[in-house]
Amino acid sequence: MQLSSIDIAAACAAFSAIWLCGLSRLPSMCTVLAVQTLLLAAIAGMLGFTHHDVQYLVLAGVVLAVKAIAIPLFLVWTARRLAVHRDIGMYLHPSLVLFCGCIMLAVGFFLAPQLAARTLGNPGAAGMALTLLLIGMLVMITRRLALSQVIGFLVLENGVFLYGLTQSHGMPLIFEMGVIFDVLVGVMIAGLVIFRLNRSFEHIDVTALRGLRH
Amino acid sequence: MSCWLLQLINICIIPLLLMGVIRKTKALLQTRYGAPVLQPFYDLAKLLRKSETISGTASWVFIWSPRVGLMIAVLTAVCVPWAGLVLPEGWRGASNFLFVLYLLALGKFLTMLAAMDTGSAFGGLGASREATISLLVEPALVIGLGAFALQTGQMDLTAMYAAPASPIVAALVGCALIIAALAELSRMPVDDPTTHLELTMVHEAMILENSGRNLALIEYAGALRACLYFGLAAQTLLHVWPGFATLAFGWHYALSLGALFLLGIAVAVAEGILVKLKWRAVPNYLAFATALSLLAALVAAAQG
Amino acid sequence: MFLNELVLSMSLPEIPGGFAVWCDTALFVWLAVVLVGVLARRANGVVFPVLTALGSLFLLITATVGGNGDCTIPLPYYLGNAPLTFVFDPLSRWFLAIIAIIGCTTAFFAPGYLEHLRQRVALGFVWAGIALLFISMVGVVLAGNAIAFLVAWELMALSSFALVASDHTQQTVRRAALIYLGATRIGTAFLMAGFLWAHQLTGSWTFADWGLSGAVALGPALLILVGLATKAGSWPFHLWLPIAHPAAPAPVSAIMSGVMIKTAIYAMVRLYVVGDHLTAPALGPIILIFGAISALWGVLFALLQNDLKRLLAYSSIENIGIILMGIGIALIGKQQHLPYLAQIGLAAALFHSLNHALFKSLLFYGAGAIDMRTHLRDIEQLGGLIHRMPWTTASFVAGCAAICALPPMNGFASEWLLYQGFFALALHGPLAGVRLAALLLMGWLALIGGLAIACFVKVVGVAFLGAPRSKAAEHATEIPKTMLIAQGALVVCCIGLGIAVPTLLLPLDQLVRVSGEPQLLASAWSIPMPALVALAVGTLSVLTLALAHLARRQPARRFITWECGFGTLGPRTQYTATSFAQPISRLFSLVYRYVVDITVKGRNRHHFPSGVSADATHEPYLETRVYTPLARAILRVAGSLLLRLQAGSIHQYLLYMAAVLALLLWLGVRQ
Repeated sequence: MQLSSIDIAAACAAFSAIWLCGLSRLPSMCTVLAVQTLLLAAIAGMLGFTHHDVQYLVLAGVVLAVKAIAIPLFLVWTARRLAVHRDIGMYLHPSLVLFCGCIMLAVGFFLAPQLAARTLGNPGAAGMALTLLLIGMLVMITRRLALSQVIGFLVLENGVFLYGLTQSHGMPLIFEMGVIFDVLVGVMIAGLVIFRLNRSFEHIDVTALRGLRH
Repeated sequence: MSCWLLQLINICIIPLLLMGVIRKTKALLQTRYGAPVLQPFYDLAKLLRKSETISGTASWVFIWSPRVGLMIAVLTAVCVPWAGLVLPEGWRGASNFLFVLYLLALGKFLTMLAAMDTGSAFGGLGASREATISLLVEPALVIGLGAFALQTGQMDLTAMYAAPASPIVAALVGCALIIAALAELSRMPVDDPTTHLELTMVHEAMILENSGRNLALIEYAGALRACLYFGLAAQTLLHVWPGFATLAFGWHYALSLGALFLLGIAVAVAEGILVKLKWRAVPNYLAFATALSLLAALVAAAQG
Repeated sequence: MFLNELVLSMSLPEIPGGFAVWCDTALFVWLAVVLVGVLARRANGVVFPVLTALGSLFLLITATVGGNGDCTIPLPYYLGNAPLTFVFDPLSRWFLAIIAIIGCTTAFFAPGYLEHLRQRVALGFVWAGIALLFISMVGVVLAGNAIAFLVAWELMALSSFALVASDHTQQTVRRAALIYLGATRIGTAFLMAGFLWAHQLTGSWTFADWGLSGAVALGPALLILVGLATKAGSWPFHLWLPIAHPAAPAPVSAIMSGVMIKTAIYAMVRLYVVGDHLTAPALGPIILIFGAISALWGVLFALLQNDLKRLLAYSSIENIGIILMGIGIALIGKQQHLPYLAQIGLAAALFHSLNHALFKSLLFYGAGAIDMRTHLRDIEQLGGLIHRMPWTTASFVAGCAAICALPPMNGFASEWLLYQGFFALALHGPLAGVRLAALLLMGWLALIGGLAIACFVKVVGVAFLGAPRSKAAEHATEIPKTMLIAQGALVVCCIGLGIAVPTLLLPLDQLVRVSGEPQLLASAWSIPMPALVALAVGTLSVLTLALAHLARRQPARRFITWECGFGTLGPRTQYTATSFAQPISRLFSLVYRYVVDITVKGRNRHHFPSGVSADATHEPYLETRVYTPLARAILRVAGSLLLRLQAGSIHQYLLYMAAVLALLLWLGVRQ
C-alpha cells in the first residue's frame, strides 16, 4: 500500500481527533485541535505545491492563522476566563469515547473507497474526513460542557473542510474564506453565548438545560 | 553458544546498569549530583548481605514468591530478544509473545499473593491496584503485539523482530508499548517509585514488607522486567526504519542496546517532567495505549 | 423399571467390540449404587465410594481403549417410533473420559465431605443421585438419536435437581432448586422444539440422518442452541447457574460445574461441528459472540462475589464462554474452508472442556473443604487458612493458577490454542473487518485473563492468606487424607496436562481432523515446555541454594507486620475482598449499578467517628431492566389469562381434555 504524504497527514489529523476524544482537560483539547488544524493547513499547502496554485497557499495561510491559532487561543482564553478546566463527559467516560473514536476510524477506513471521488486521488483522505466528521459528532454528543461542544463542532468542520479540499478541486478561494470566517464568527458568538450562560447559571453544563423545560 | 553467553552477560549487567542510568539522568535533571551509575549493583550487594525480617503472618507464599518471580524474569529475559539477540532454533517457540506475557502474569500473580500474605493493609491495596493496572494493560499488549505479529504471520518474538515491518504499525505499537510499559513497571505517571507515601504507591506498597535478600531478588527481577519491556518497545520502534531488520549482527546489537538506553534516558526525562496521575485517571491513561494498539490492529488487518 | 430394561437390553450386544461390555459394567455398578442408595437412604457406607470409583474406572477403560461402534435398543411400540441408539466414537469417548475422571475423584472426595452433612441430608440418597447423574450423563454423551438424547437429558436434569435440593431443610436451597428446575424446563422446551423441527424437516430422529445445511437448518439449530446454552449457562441464559450450583453439596457442585454443563457443549460439538448435522452459516459468529460476552460477563461477576461457591459458579460461566468461543472459531473455520482454523478451534474447545472439568472440580473441592471445616462460604470471614489447611491451600492455589491460564498449567495450554485460533483467523480471515475482529478478540481474551487473575488473587489472598477474620477460620483444621488425595490427583492432572501438551494433542488430532486433511494440530504447540520447566527448576534450585548459603550467615527474623507504631494490628485492618474488587468494579459500571454506601456514625462524625461502615452493592442491568420486567409481564398475563382457564372446576378441566382429544383426532385423521 503506497501512501501519499497527503494521506499520511490526513491520517495524522484523524489520529489527533481520536486522541482528542480521550482528553478531559480543555486546554489540552484546544492544543490537539490546533495541531489537527495545522495538519489540514499543511495539506492545503501540499496541494498548492503539487497543483502550482497560489490559491491553495493563501487558503493554507488563512486556515493556519484563523483556525489553527486564533480560534484555539480564543477557546483557551474563554476557558480560563470561565475557570473551567475539565470535562469528564456524560454517558460515556472519555476513555470509552476514545475506543468509539477508534471505531469511527475503522468506519472511515473501510468506507473510504465508496466515499472517494473517482477522478481524484487520495481515497484515504476521504475516509479520514469522514472519521473527523463522525468524531466531531461523537465529541459533541458525549461532552458535558458547552465549550467542548464547540471544540467538537470544529472537529466536524475540519472533516468537511478536509473532504472538500481533497475530493474536489476545491471551492473557489472566496467561498472557502467565507466559510472560514463564518466559523470564526460562529465560534465568537458561541463564546458570547457561553459567557451569557455562565453569567445566568454560574456554569456551562449543557445537561442542565433540561431543567429549562419546567 | 556464543549467543547464549552474550544473552547471559546481558542479563547480568544491563538491567542494573539501565536502572543506574535512569537514576543518574533524573538526578542530573534535578540539578543534583546523584548516586554513581553503578549504585544499583552496590545496593544489590548490600541487600544480599543484610538479614531479612518476615512478618509473623507470612507463609511459604511470601518466601517463595520473590524467588519464583526472579526465576520467571530470568526465563523470559533469556527467551525474549529484547537486546536484539536471536536464540537457537529449538528455543524460539519459547519467545512466543503470549507465552511471555502469561509467564510474566504468573510472576505478577505470585507477587500479588505475597503482598496479601503478610496481612498488612498496604499489601492488599497495592495488589488490588496492580491487578487493575495489569488487566487494563494486557489487552493493549496483546492487541499491539498481535498486530505486529500479523505481518510475519508468526507469534514468536524472534521471528517477528527478524523481518521488516510496516513503519506505521511499528510506530503505533512502539508508542503503545511505551505507555503500557510505564504502567506495567510502576513508573511515572502511573506510580512514583520514589514516593514515601504508602497510600499513593502501587508496586512499592506490595513489596513494603520485603527486606534484605528477599527485596534484592525483587529489585533485580524488577530491573530485568524493565529491560524486557523497554527492550521490546525499543525493538519495535527501531522497526520504523525498514532497514533495521536486515542489518549486520554487530550493528543490530549495538543499535538495540543504544536504543534501550536512549529509551531509558527518555523515560527518566519524562519522569522529571510529568506529574503522577490521580489513581482514578490511570484507566484513562491506559486507554491511550489500547487505542494505539487498536489503530495498529486496524492498519495491520487492512494490509493483510 | 424402565431404566433397568434399558440397561439390560444394552447388555445384549450384537455388535462385536469391547466398548459395550465395559460401559455396561460401569452402568451396572452405578445402578447398584442407585439401588443401595435408595434402599439405605441415611447410610454413608464405604460401599458407595468404592462402587462409584469402580464404575468410573470401567468407564475410563471404555473411553480410552474401548474402541468405536454403536448399538441400538429397540423400544416397545408404546414408547415412541424410534429405537434408542447409542454411538461410541472419539468425540463421545473424550467426554466419557471427562466423566470418568471426575467420577474417580468424587469417590475420594465425597465420603469425607458428606459426613459433615449427616445431620441434615440423607446421604445414601445423595450417592444414589450422584450415580444416577453419572449414568444419565453417559447416556447423553452416547446418545445417537434425539429420543435417546432427550431421555438421558431429562434424567440428568431430574437427578441433578434432586441433588441440588438435597439440603432442602434450608429455604435458600429450596428456592435455588426450584429456579434450577424452571431453567431446565425452559431449556428442554427449546431443545424439544428444535428436535421436532429437525425431525419435521428430515423425517428421522437419528442425528446421523439429519445433514441439514443452509438457511433451512438455522431455525432448528437456533432453537436447539438456546436449549443447550441454557444448560451450559451461557450468557444471557445463565441466571440460574450461580444460584443453583452453590446450593448443592460441594462434590455435586463440582460434578455440575465441571461435567454436567459440558454435556451441552458435547451436544453442540456433535450437532454443529463434528457431525455436520445442522450447519448454518450464521451459527459460528453467533456462538462466538455469545461466548465472548459470557466469558467477560462471568469473570466480571465472579470478581464481584464474596460467596466462594457463587464466585466459582460465575467463573464456570466464564469458562463456558471460552469454550463457546472455540466452537465458534471452529464453525467459522469450517464455513470458510480453513481446516487449520476448524481443527484448532475445536481442539481448544474440547481441551478446555477437559481442563475446566479438572480445575473447577479442584476449586469446588477446596471450597467444600473450607465449608466443611469452617461452615463459611463468605470469604470476608476467612483468612489465614494457609497455616491451618496447608495442603488444601496449596492445591487451591494450583487450581487458581490453572483457571487463570498461567503457564505451565493446563488452562494455559487450552487458552493458548484458542489464541492460536484467533491469530489464524486474523491471518487468513476473508475480510479486513474479520481480521480486525479476530485481533480484537485476542485482546478481549487477554482482558478476561486479567480479570480472572484479579478475581482469583482476591479469593486466595483474602480467604487463605493473611490473618483469620473469624473464630471459625481460626480453628479450622486440615481435611482428611482421602479428600486430599482427590485434590492432589487433580493438581497432578492440571500440571501434567499443561506440560505434556503435544502428547495430548495426538488423540485430539484424530478427533478434530476430518479424514484426508493434513495433520495440522501437531504444529500448533511450539513451546518447548519440558525444557523450559527443566530450566526453571534449575534456576530456582540455584537461587534457593544461594539464598540458603546467605541465610546461614544472616538468618531471617520473624516479627510483627508493618503496623506504623500502633502495636499489633488486628485482622480487621486487612484489606477486604470488597475493597480489593472496588477499583475494577468501578471500571465496568456500564453493565451494572455499582454503589458503595459509606456511613459514618458518631456525634463528632468528621473528626472522631465512632464507627464507619461501607457497603458495596451491585445490580446487573440485565436482570433489573430485562428479566425482571419480563418476568412481571409473564406473571401479569398468567394472572389475568391463565387464571381464568384454571377455574378450579373439574368439569371444565374434563372439557379441556375432551377438546385436546378432539384436536388430536382431527390432526390424526387429516394425515
